[in-house]
Amino acid sequence: MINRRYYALLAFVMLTTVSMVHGHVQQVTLRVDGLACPFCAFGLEKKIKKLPGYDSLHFLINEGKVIVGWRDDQPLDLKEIDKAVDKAGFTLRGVTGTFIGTISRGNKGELYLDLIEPVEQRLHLDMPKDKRRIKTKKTDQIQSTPQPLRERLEGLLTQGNLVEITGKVEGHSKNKVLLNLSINSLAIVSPPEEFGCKVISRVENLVCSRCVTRVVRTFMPLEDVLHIQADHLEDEIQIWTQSEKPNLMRLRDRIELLGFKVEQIRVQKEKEDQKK
Amino acid sequence: MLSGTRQSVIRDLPLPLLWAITLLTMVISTKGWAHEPVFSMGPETIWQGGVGIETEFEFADEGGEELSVLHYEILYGLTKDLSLTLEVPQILDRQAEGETGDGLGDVEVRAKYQFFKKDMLNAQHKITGIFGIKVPTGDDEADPPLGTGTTEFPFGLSYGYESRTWYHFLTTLYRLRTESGNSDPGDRLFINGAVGYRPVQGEYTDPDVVFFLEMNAEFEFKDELRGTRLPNTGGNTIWLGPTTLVSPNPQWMFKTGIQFPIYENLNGHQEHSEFRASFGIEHHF
Repeated sequence: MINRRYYALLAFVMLTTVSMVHGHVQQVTLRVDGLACPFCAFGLEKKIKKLPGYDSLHFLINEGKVIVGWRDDQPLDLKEIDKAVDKAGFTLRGVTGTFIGTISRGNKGELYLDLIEPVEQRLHLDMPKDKRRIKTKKTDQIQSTPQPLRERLEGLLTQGNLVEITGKVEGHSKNKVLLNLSINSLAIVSPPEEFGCKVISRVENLVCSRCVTRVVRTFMPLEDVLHIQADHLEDEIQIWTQSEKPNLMRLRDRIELLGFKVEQIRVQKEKEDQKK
Repeated sequence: MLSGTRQSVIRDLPLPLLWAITLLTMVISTKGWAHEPVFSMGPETIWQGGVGIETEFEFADEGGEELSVLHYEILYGLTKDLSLTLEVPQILDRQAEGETGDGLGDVEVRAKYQFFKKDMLNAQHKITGIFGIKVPTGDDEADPPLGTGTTEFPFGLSYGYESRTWYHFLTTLYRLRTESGNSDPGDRLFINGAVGYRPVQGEYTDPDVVFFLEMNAEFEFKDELRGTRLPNTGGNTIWLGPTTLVSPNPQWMFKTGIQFPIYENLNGHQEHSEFRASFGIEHHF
């Protein structure tokens, strides 16, 4: 049963592509403890409505949940949400939603999702266990589970793709506990179908997934940039821009300000793109 | 220091009027906020930056004496754990000894600091410290008096458990009353308990109703006049009665309740209480 679930997830990962559309509203579900009455919960409504990405609000008070419509042109700032819930007099236990960022590896080999914005947020990816103990009435059976998800995420480390993970974040930032993201679904964010032009830059020193994250986090929030991919094995950064004639000098400067040496930067021709 | 005229008024104060002052302070007890009991305070603090306003009408029938008071309250959340309240009582009608009076009562400012909170799914445990000061803004020289003429320092602790179905509260409040000239009114101790039940657990915007049963034990020490304890002052009373809180939406709350003295042990000869009732409206934004 578990094998099937992970193969299904793998299939989903391979087949699904997601495009980022600015202005689109996504939903995040907040699991809030202490919600005992509507009169007291009004303070939470006030605090959430002041958050910059707020679009809509729906309380499921008997389930201790608040569903918030969130504009994806604003970063989903978990710390700000946590602070708002705290100031309203409640405790945030978890946030279920969709998070966009790049995969990186920690010092101990653990995997993270580095959110594009806000830059200081890094979510620890909660991996399924290698082996799962399943209790039966008579004996304990140990069933090993394959790890297609981990392998897939390891693959994304080098490719520098933007990924979109839907899951639940738990853990409290104030207590310096890592914010754990348990993954429900994962998809690679594909380049937009319509764009002004595509810039390709060959760089030196792009050596690891953290370098990739820095590049993506720097360029993605820029108004003209629709999409970016950075591959540290190929030493290549690809930028999809809104304008047809982007300022290449400015893009080069920005890359070099990050500490990478730009060997070449050019606009990819349409024919070249079709060929690829 | 009091003026000579004021001192002489206190000295010549008839004992029934001293009891009337006691009644006045009893009715002008501190009020509950949100889903707190109606006749006492609970551990609720408002959210950081939140503002609440409340108007509450109280009526007390003290044998042949009657008192109608309108309380105006404004509440502000300095932080999520610390809130400040200003309470201004407007005495609408005070009848005692065949005389009537009305006007501003004694103003009270108090702070609540919530030092313990445990949140669970649809429930909270809270403990709050309460501190305040009541200043003698009411005219204590009027006949009948509209204020106590003394400065009071209420302080205490309040514990509360709130969930989607059940509520319970336990509050202990001590009112330290300072001397005023030759008069030294007795301090007061309140021990309040309440149990509440929400029969229908609706959604956020649905009307919300909670029923409470409140019991308030009040202990008052004897007043002193020129160092002599007055025999016809002080005593113990236990009040019991139902109260109801109705929120038509998350911003408004109507609260009403009535209480009867189920036990009274008053010193000397004093009028016995009949009942007290309250109706209030709260709005927060």
